[in-house]
Amino acid sequence: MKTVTKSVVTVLFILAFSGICSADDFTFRKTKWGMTPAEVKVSEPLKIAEESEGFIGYKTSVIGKNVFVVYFFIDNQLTRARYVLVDSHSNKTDFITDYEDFKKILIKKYGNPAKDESFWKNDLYKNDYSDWGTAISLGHLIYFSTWSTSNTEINNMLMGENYDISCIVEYSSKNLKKIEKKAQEKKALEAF
Amino acid sequence: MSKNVTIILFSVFLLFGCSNFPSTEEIDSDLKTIDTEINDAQKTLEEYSGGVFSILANVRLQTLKTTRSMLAQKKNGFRRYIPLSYSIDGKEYTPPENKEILLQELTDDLKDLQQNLSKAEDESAKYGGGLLGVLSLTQVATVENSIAFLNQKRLLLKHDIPYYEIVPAPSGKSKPGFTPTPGKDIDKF
Repeated sequence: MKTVTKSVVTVLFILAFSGICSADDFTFRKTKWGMTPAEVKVSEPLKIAEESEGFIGYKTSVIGKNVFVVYFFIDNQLTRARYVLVDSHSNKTDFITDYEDFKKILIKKYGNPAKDESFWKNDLYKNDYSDWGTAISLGHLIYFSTWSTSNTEINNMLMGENYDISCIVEYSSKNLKKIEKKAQEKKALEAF
Repeated sequence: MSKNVTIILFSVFLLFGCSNFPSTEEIDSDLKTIDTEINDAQKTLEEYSGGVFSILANVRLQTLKTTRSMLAQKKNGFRRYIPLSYSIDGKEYTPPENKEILLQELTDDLKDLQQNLSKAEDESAKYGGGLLGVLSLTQVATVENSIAFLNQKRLLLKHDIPYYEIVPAPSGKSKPGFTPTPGKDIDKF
C-alpha cells in the first residue's frame, strides 16, 4: 500500500512540476523565443491580420483595450513581440491612462519596474496637465517603464511624433539580441 | 394556331395595357419640395466664392441632392415595376415597427428647427456685417444644414429607404476584429 501511495505522489509531483515548467517557459502569450513563424501561428488562436517577411500581426483585445499583437522574426526565429494600442482618444491626455493601465498589469505580474520614468524633452506644455497628451504627440514628453526576467526584457512605452501617439508594450529576447544586432548592421550596410 | 396567338396577345394587352402605374403622388410631392430647396441652396452657394459659408452651403446642397437621388430611385423603381430592396450587412432592411412614432418625432424636431431658423434669420437681419453679422449668418447656415439632415432622415424613413449613418466599418470574415482570446489577461503579459 505504501509503495502505491509513493508512486501516486511521485507521478502527481512530476505532472505538477512539468505543468509549472511548461507555463513558465512561455515568454509572451503562448510563445517562446526562437520559435519559427509556423510555430507561432499554431500557438495563436487568432486570425492573422497582417503578415510579411519578418513579422506576423494579429488583432485582439487585452485589459479591455484594442491592440495589435505583432511577432517579429529574424532568421526564422522569434526575437521580439509587441502589443500596440489601436484605440484612439479625442483627448490625447487619456493615453496616459492607457499607459498606466498597462503598467499596472505588468507590475501585478512582474513586480515593480526596474525603471519607471517620464522624460520631458521640451518643457513647453509642462505646466498644464491637460496639454500633456499634446506634449506626448509632439515628442516633448515620453513615458517608459522596464522590467527584466531571466530571458526577456519588457518595455512599456508611451511616446509620439507628428501628432501621433504610440502606446506599446514590447518584449524582446535577451539571448537573441546578438542576431537582432547583426541583422540591423547588415541592413544598415545594405543601404550603402 | 393564329387564333391562339391572338388570344394570348389580347390577354397580355389586357393584363399590362389596362393596369395603372402605382401611385407616386407622395414621392412626387416630396421631390418637388426638395427641388425647391436645392434651387435655394444653389443660389446661396453662388453668393459665396469660398470660406465657411460656401462650405456650409455646399454641405446642405449635397445632402439635398443625395435625398433627391434616393427618392428618385424609389420612384423609378415603382414606375418600372422594379421592386427595390435594401440590404445592410447582408440583412434585408425592414422599416422599424415604430415608424409612425419616429416620423412624428422627426416632424416635431423639424418644427423646432424651423423656429430656430426663423429666430436666427431675424437675428441675422439686425446686422449689416461685421463679426456679429458673420456669426449670425453662420448660425443660419448651420440650422439650415441641420434641417436638411433631419429632413433627409424623415423622408427616407417615410419611404422605407434605410438611412445610412456613419458607423465603424463592419468587420468582415476576411478582416478579423479585436476579440479577446480565452484566458486571463495577466497570462497574456
